[in-house]
Amino acid sequence: MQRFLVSLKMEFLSTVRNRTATFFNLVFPMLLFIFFGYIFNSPNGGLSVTGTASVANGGVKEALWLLPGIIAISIATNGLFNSIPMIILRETGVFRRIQATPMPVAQYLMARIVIQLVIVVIQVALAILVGVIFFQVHPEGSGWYLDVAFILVGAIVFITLGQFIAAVSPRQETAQIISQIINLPLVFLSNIYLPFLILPDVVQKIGRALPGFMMVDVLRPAMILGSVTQANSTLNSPLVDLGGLALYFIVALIITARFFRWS
Amino acid sequence: MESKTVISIQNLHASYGSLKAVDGVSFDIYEGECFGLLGPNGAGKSTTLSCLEGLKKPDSCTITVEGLDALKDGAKVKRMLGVQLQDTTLFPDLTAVELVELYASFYNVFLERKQITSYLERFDLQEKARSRAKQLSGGQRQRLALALAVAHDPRIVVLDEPTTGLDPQARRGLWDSIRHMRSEGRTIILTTHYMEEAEVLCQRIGIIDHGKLLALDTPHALTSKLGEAATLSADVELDPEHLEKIKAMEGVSSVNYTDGQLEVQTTQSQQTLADLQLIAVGAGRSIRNVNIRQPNLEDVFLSMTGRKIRD
Repeated sequence: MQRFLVSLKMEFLSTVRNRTATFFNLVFPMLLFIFFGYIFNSPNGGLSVTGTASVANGGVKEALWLLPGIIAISIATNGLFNSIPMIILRETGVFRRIQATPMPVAQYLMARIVIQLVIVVIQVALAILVGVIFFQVHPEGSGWYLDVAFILVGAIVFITLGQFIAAVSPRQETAQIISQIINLPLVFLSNIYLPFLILPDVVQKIGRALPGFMMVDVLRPAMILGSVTQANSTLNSPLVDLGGLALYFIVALIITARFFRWS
Repeated sequence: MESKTVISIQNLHASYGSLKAVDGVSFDIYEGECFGLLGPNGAGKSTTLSCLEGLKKPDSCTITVEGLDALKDGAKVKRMLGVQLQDTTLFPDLTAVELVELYASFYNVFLERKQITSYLERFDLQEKARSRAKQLSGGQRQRLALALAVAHDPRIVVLDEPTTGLDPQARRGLWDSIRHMRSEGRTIILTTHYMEEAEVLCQRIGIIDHGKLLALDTPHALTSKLGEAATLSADVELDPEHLEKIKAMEGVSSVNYTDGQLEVQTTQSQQTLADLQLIAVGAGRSIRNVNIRQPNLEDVFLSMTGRKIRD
């Protein structure tokens, strides 16, 4: 147990000292939050919870509508782009070096994943802080356990997707390309920054099948309303969202297990 | 006095797919000695070590470490070994102190910062203790890799090409560290393709090529087997008839002439040199860069395989 704690400590230090990763994981989403929060702001009106309509009076304030999206995209980029350091550790022989010791490498990988979850917690806290400080918005308190559950589900799905990318990519460059390819629909088609109301129907249908959308489709009503069962609060049925996420997770896990290697 | 056998490798066979990397290698390593595996790149040295370290599954063999079967009790054997692999890459954003703490922890050895900083002095890394791995020079990184190998105080140390890629000064620094390890009573097995390194550090050397162990003995015994033959080398312009004359000289066993460079194996180096000068002066040629050297492991390898180690 003690050596697992040492691994946790070192993984945490490695992660926060990696300036590029820290910028894209922690700073960049907040900058986008502030940017989109200000440009989308309408003083009286807002959006519907699902983002498919704008409301002239009342509705969800844009910044509050964005908050779950910022959290979702932080979780997603954290998980996906971790594929790159995974490959670097594999290709440069760091994992192999650990294999020569009595420490099970899988345990070290566990430490990496735990630290990724710690980063998720920091990301969520930061997003809520920015929401409160810059826009005076905060999540609805009564649904906090739903928030935690959906954030955890999303984190696990995207961490697994990141491992999947690392397992199927022969080189670092491949992982970078695949991560970017997955990231773009995440940003533009998943109802995360850009509300669905500005996208054509056909494009919306594609977006609704993506894991990023599924995560935000349940997280948003949970954070804004405190529940996912209110009428017209989700675009897919919540069961479809959760089932879809589970499916992405299982497929990614199976393929990862099949192709994973330490060196 | 019988030396205790610490590692025993019997009939090791290992392949990568259809490529046979190790083809029936056997040797024992005694307590407290520094044992070297000398051979060119691709000879099977690293593969042999990988099987010992538990990183590669051999096709067949018996490997015993301190009485334990390395294949059955791999985890226990790993605990007894300190390991340095080729091409060491370390977590780039961790400091030297943190890396020592981390790698020692893998062996359930937990060190304090003060302990680690004074430990790093032994590898001349005290000034770089708080520097991140990516800020270290090549030589410093190799020394750190060595420090990581021994941080948990193993009795047996396995080093794969510990000085490859280092400049001569850095190399000698590492030799000092390895000698220090031996003075602490550790048993060391290392691989190298540097003949001088094997001669300087190792009590016994196994010469390995194409997966086979060609010879195993002390450096002195190996070179003595070549008899009194020294290598006389010189830069000189010679015609084929001159080379025939040299070949016929007393004591000369082989003559090599390429691009104006002459190499002669001879048991009568002084006489051969005098005769060579007569030939050269007689033909109006000048001799430059004359060197007479005693046989070394490079010559041993050459005599066994017909190739140089660094071909």
